Amino acid sequence: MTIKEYNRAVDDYADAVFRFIRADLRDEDRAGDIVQDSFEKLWRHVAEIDFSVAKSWLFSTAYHAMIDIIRKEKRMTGLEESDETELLTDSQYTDLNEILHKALERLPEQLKSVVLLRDYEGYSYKEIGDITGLSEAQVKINIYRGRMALRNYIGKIETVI
Amino acid sequence: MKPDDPNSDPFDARLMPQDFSFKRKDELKKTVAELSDSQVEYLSVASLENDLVSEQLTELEEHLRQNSRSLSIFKSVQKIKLTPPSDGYRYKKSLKKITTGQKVFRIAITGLSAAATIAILILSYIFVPGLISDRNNQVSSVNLETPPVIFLIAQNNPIIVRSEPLLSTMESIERTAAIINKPEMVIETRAMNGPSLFIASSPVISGLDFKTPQLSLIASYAEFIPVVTYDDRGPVRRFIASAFREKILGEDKYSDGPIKPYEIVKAGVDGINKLLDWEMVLKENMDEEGKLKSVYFSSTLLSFNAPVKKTDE
Repeated sequence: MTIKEYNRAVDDYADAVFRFIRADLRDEDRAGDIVQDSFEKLWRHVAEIDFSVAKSWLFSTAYHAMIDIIRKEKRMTGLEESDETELLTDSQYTDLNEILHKALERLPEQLKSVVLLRDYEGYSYKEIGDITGLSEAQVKINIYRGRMALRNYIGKIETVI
Repeated sequence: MKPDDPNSDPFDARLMPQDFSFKRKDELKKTVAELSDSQVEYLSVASLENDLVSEQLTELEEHLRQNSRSLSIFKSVQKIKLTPPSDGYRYKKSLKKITTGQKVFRIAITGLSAAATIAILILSYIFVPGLISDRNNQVSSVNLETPPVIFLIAQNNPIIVRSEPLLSTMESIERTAAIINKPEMVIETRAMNGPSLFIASSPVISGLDFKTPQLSLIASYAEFIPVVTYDDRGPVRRFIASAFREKILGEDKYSDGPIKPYEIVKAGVDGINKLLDWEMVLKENMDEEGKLKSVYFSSTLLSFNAPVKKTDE
């Protein structure tokens, strides 16, 4: 990759990586740090990495950095551990997308990431698998599970409202 | 078994299937109407993910037409699609790297900018005197062409006006001096509250120069009379000053006041920061009276705090 291509990668992918990590971590500062670290790593390997794989490389690097942080902070939460009452009683949400993002926080990390990569970036199962290290079948199952979990949250909210 | 075949294994005994069919086979068959809720949910997600082949999609649509409950499940699943926010990473610019060519270009631009700034300063100093001013020159001139021949001292309340016609230069000095030097007058002025205003003008008498005595009078009573600033800049200078303040300094409020050297340097530093993505800082430090005490400069290579020389005002 040339310096020009590296800068193009900054222009084209920095926003997307940032949005993905921020939506997952719900922490703007941490997300910013991860984006910076990921591009710093890309810069260190700029000669070895081809521009055509730069996007998935960046997403993969950022994803694993995020997972490291989450593991360190023991923020991995199971579906059964989530507190739905807070979401259900919170009537401040008027926008469905906002409700979905709030509900997303309650998903386990692996379901959350694959749904985000699928919806935000439109990645295929294989591409998501390459980023997360999961098989295509696992990715597909996780996306389905994630969607059904989100649908259940929304269904409960709609019932309450 | 084929006994005649020399390659065949005599112990290879295979069971041949009987001609039998399950009679209740048709009972096992399903129709699209028999899809369960969980199957509809799965198919709805698959539809959302574009994972269904056309035949599956047709069957699902047929089921949905027949079952309103399934239709509501399908519709709710179609809503489960996250939309990314429109905002992006704010510090994207800082991630970018510059090529050698860009480095050379930027250094050249820096040099040119510095040269242009110096040239502008020199030209401004030569051709637009008064554009660059400092505190010492704020009371730079007094309009001596004003026709009224009065000398007055006025306050808000009560208003006390002393008016004396001036007949000649020496006489005017003596008489105005006499007014100010009256003991009761001095006491009266000091006792007054509120802002006071000192207005001085002189007669238009050809051949007589009032500049020196007039200015000396003002200076002698400066301790209780506020300084009045007279600005004799023309419309061109004012326009240049206002344009500089609006376009370069980015001031919201209109002002055509004289541009200070600090403001020019500050504009140059800000311009270079924008151009080269540098983070140089220039700050002015004021003393308790609001006068410029020192200038602080900071960059990645150098930082210093330079005191400003104070001259007698």
